[in-house]
Amino acid sequence: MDDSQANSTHGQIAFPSKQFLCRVCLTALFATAAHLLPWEGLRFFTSEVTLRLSGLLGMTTSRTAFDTIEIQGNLIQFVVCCTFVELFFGSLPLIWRGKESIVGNLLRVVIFAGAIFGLNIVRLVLLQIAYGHGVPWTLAHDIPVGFAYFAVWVFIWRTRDWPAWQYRSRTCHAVTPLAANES
Amino acid sequence: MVAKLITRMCNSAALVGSVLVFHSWVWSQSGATHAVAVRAKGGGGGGWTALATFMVLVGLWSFVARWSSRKKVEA
Repeated sequence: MDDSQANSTHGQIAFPSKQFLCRVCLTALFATAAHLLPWEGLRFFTSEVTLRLSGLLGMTTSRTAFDTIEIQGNLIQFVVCCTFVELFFGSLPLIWRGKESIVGNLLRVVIFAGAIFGLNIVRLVLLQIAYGHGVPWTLAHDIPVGFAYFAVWVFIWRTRDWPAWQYRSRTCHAVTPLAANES
Repeated sequence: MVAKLITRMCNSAALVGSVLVFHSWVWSQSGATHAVAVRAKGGGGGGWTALATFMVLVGLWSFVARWSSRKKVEA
């Protein structure tokens, strides 16, 4: 049973831990910094992989600019958000493990980067297929992004090694530190 | 009970998902230039739809997790 649920059922209120808040602040900083950069190379690479995979699937494709491609007659421009680079950098403070070595953490980050890129490419190719078949943009693009966010969120939440909550009693306001893996 | 569930959902979704929320906000701001085809139709702002989808999924996930843990305790 989740400790936070156990504590909440025993009259204690859960609050975000200090470590959790620090990591979230870093997340905002990392995501902001990532967004300030143009990422032209990554935008080109992401659009090129999407272009080629869509071509392999039999769609008519062409490139009109370094960040804009045409698939099945639809012009699609790749902006920074389309690369999920902010999602990747913003997730770094949340997936970094304090008790693991730097090499271990870096290896984990590299694998995570590959997974994010793969997830994004799958999303983009499915988007091209769906949008090319007349599915509305909201259904083909926006809602799958929500599912992708959710997949990343579940991964972060399930694999974290830091305490998310601390508990305060309803009566005496004592703060109780939480064990590392409470879920 | 419902208040606790909502609090827990909001805490976890708002804090762990802050990067995603930020991402959605940025996306909504840049939505007008996101896709040329969509811009021509006056679209954009898809980040909010993505965020709403994400929040609904987190809510369902939290609900199911809580329900299943309660079932285990009862068993």
